[in-house]
Amino acid sequence: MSPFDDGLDMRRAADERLLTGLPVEGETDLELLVTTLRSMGSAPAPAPTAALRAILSDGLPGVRATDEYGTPEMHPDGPDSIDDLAVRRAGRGRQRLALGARVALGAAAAAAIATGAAALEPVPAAIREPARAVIEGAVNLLTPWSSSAGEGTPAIDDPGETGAESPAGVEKPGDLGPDDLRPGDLRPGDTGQGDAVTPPPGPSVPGGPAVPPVEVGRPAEPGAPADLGPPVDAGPPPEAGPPQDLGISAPGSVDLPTPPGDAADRGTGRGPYPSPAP
Amino acid sequence: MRGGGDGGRTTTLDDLVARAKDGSSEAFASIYELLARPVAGYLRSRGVLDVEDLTSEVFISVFTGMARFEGDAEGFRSWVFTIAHRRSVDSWRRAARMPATTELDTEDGAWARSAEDLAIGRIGDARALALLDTLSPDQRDVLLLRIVGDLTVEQVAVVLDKTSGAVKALQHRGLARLRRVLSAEGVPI
Repeated sequence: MSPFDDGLDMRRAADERLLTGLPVEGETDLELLVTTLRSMGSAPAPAPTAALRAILSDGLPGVRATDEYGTPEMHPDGPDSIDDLAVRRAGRGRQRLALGARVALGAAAAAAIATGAAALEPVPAAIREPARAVIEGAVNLLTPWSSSAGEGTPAIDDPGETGAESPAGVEKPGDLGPDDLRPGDLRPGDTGQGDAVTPPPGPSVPGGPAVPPVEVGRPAEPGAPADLGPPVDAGPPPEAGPPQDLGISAPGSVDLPTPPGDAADRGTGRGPYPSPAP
Repeated sequence: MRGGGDGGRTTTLDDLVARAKDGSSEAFASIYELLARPVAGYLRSRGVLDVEDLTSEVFISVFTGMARFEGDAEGFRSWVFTIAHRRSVDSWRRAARMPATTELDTEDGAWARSAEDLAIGRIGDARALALLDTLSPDQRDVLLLRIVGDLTVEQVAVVLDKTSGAVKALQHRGLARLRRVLSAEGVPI
């Protein structure tokens, strides 16, 4: 061992004494420094926080002191078990599903209300017409093929003209076809254009369903122009003959006056509800 | 290493650790009583602002992690100071992101005297910490753990994840540096 090693060992030994608080000759300042630092480590301990105080008094919240078998017990008011957490997650999932179902139910109810407002006759036109527009827009949006296929089809401006919503006046395609007209019943000019009672092209129209643009309350009676039948609720039964006050000539008359107005005008004379089928 | 008394019977730190691993709240309290002062002193000497809260956080971490600890009393002490050291580093990082705050001055005469006494008492601490600031961070950490934490070289090596030889070298250089500063300034602490 060299003198250098001896000196190193002595210095390290002096350092060790200093650091452990023992006096070292000639190291007064360092001794004072170490003493000051040591006093920092012997100062009164700070008061524990509430969380630490709970642990110091009651132990860990999730683990109780071991039982008689040395097994830690779960604290009754400790953290939730994995099963509890799974149940809570499932509950939150059900709540999300319930919210989605409520949204879907509300949307369905709104659609049903709009459809009903558009389809029911008693609904005022101020409400019905916008509702129809909405429904038609939705239908056109959802069935884009109908617009292209219906180019050759007469446009259905008024759903009421289809007779589909008139139980008594159900007009199936072909019901009012040209075969229902008898020669001589009507003059050719009397069934001219612009008259809503003109027999529709019906099935002869290619490319689309024959929806007659007539608004007749009931099927044509034999011997009478099918398209000139009075509204069901506007006149007496067929046995009584066509009402004269409607300005419609008797069947077979050659000077049949042109019905005033168009179908829309005559439609105003109808009651709000369709008449029951005979 | 001796721990707290238990009805006249002296309990070693090994016994306390064993009981604390079983969840004994009495063992927790005894460990806190035994180690809270040096841990708080170490945190204070490292300039931690909220020493009370951080000390509690350290011991909450210790007690909640007791099940993972394996070792004897010396290892336990090293483990506790390892947590304290890392907590202090985290505290400094948080403090660096927070705006600085200043304590309110009090004009109450009743408090003035105790504040004066406190200031006088802290002159030495502040001077001592200022001297430590002349050291490198590793040298300062080694000396604080050795002096304030009362740890051995081996325990300090565990806390700082260094070899015992490196710790010895660091403490030797640190003390040598302090000697030079003190002799040059000639100002008593």
